[in-house]
Parts: sequence; structure tokens; C-alpha cells
Amino acid sequence: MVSLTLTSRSNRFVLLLAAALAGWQIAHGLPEGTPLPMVAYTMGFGVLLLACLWLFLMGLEVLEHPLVVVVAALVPLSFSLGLVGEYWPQGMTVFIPFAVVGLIGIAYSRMGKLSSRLGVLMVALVHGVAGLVILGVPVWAVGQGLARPGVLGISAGGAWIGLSGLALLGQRLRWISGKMDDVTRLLPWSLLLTLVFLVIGFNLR
Amino acid sequence: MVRERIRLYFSLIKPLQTGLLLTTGLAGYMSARCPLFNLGTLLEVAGSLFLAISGSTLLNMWWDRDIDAKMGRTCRRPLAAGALSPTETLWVGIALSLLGIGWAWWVFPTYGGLVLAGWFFDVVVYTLWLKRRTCWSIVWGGVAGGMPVLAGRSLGVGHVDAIGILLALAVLLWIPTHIMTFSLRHLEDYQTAGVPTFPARYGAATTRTIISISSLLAAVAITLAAILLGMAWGYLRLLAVLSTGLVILAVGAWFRPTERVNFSLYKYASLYMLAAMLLLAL
Repeated sequence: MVSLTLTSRSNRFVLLLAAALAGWQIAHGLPEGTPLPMVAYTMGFGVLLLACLWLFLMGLEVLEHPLVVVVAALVPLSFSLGLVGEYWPQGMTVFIPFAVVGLIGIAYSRMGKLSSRLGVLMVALVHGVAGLVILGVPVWAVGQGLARPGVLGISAGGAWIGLSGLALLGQRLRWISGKMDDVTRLLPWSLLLTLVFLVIGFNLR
Repeated sequence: MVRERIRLYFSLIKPLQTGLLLTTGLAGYMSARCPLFNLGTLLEVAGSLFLAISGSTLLNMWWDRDIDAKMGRTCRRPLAAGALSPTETLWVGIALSLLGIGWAWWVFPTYGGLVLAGWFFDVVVYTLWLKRRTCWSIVWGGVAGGMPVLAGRSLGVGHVDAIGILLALAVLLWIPTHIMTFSLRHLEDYQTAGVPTFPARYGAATTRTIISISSLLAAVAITLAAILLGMAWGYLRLLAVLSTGLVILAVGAWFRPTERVNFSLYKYASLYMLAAMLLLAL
């Protein structure tokens, strides 16, 4: 029987801490002069903030909701959109349609309108491309002298949440053996680590 | 012995609820941007509100002890369980109320008047008069709940203003989420005790719809107040994110109402109210 509660006090504290970090970043650490990246980053940190609060209040049951996959896609899409808008604005003409179509595709597949294989492919494509952008754009920006090396924290945060997402997906699809608890128990810590990396990246770039 | 009595009284004043109402009062005061390090006045607001809210809660507990004894959720409360004497609790409640309201009046008459109004709506209108007669009593409970923030704000700006009224409205709209969620969850208990509730009068579906709508309206009222207040852009952004979370849960509870979703909405709405008040205070 899978335990879907987050009864551990330390887990709940970690979630609150992660939520506080996301909240602080939204309130204090986003670029004011660039509207689209600011909105995109707000969305990315906002989804992480709400995820932490909902996990804190409702426990892991919230992960069973069918819309979780759609909402989860918002995180990499938002951060990648913000990074492209900030460091490679010319790429927006391609990336905005990709993000919109990708999100609609995932939502469409969750409504059962696509075959499950196509649905998985859609999720993998969106997360894969967005993940590569989050990983690659900061490296490129450092190489071009557009940002300080601290920006690589964003890459690390993106990579970490990507790996965590893969682990959760692998567990759900039984690619990873072991009890569900083993991966889900680490989710609060994983969210905290992701936010620590992202906050470092956004503030030391 | 004394320590044990203090512990019993502390549990009787519902520390979480009192703490949240106290936070709204302090946030209302600090939202006026009066010197934040006017620690003396801030402590006076905290002290007077704590005493007045605790006093009214004790009087509510004293009056409702027979109801509490009949309900599974509340039968272990100190008065219902016989751990405290009703007469002593009545006098402690009266003393705390007088001290709190008197102190508030001494600080600033408008502030004191509003604290007195909150006490009056809670103790006289809600508890003594309407709670056992009509399920609509919660509206007056909500009005009482909105008074601390209005009082705090009025003390800060020197008069009652639109922002204060909006903040009080937000709390008023939050109260049904709180009370109705409990009445849905413990409907049988309330029916056993003969307390009229919305679920008993209008059904669970209507009650859930009202909870969703009032949560949405509470978010609208707080956001409007924040805009009128000229809240810093970063805090406004954070408030928008938190409000979005409330709207998602409220819409979810409206269209796919279940007890679990409703209880989640209730918990989130309380956290939202606390977070929004803290943002207003910053």
C-alpha cells in the first residue's frame, strides 16, 4: 500500500522553506525591465510555490490529480521561455509557438484525446526541449559574456528538477524498481534543492 | 496548578483562530505605513486585541458549553469536559473583554469603538442571539471577524477608510469558508446539538458553491485593497500567485466538489489569509 501522506515534520518544514524561497524570489528577485521574461519566471516560481504549499497542506495525494502533468510542464516551459526571452530574444518567434503548442498538446493528451504513446511522446518532447534550453542557455550566456558564472545555478536547478521528474515518471511507469515511497519521500528535498539552485542562479548571474 | 489552568484557558481561546485575527489587526495597523518601529503602539494593538478577542472567545465558549458537550469534535474542550468552572470562565471572559476594550479605547477612541463593535457582533449578535436560531448567523460572525483588521487600519490612518473596509470584507468572506467547511465535515454533530447550519438548510452542494464563491470574492477584496494601498510590485506579484492558487482550488471545489477538495480549500484559504496579511504589513 502506497503511503500518500507527508506526515514527517521535517518534510513539511522543508516544503515551507522551499515555498518561502520561491515566494522571496517572486517578490524580490525578478528582472523588472523585461515584461515577458518576468511574467515567465513568475509563472515558473509561482507553480513551484503553489506545488510546495499544496503538498504541505494536502500531502502527496495531490500528485494523483490528472492535471498535475500539465501543471508540471509549466515549470520547464516558463523558465525556458524566460531564458530565451532574456538572452536570445530573436528565438522567441520559434519558442513561444513551441511552448503554446506543447502545453496544449499535453493538456489534450491528458483529456484522453491522444493515444497514450503519443501523450508520453508529447510530454517527453516538451520536457526534453525545455530542459535542454534551461541547461544550455545559461552556459551559452556565460560563454558570450552575457552573464556571470552564477547563472549556471539555473542550469543546475533545471537539471535537478528534470531528473526528479524523470524519477517520478519512471516510478509511475515502473521503470524504477522499489517502493513508491522511496522516490516520493525525497520530493520535498528535491523541490528545496531545485529552488536553492534556481535562487543562486537568479541572484548571482 | 496555575500553569495547568493557564494551559486550559489557552486552549479555550482557540489560539490559532485568535492568532490569525490578531495578525489581521496588526497587518491592518502596519498597512497604514505608520512608523513600523513605533513598537509601543504596535504592542498596544497586539495586547488590546489579544485581550478583547480572547475575552469574546471565552464568553462564546461559556455560552456554548452545552452545545460543545453534545458534539464529538468539541466535547473534550475544558468547559464541556468540566475541567474549568463555568462561573470562573464567565468572569475571566468578562475581565479580559473589559481590559481589552478599555485599553483599545484608551489608545484611540475610533480604534476602541471598532474593537467594541467586533466584540458586540461576536458575543451578543452572533453567539447569544443568532447562532441557535439561523444558519445566517455566520454573516455576523464574519462581520465580527473583520473588525480587528478594520480597527488596526483605522488606528494607523486615524479614520475608517475604503482600504480598511475592503480588508474587513475579505475577512468577512473568509469566515464562511472556515465555518461552513466545519459544518459540512461535522454535520451530524451540529444536527445532534441542534445548531442550524447551511448544509442542513440548503444542502451540501449549495454550501460548497457558497464556499467557493466567498473564497473567490475574498481574494478579489484583498487584491483590490493591495492595489489601492500601492503595494510594491514584487509583493503584488506574489499576492497574485497566491490568489491564483486560491482561485484554482475554489473553482475546483465548485465544479468537482468533494469533501477532500473542500477541506484543502479551507486549509489553503487560511494560509492565504495569513500570507496576504503579512504582505500587507510589509
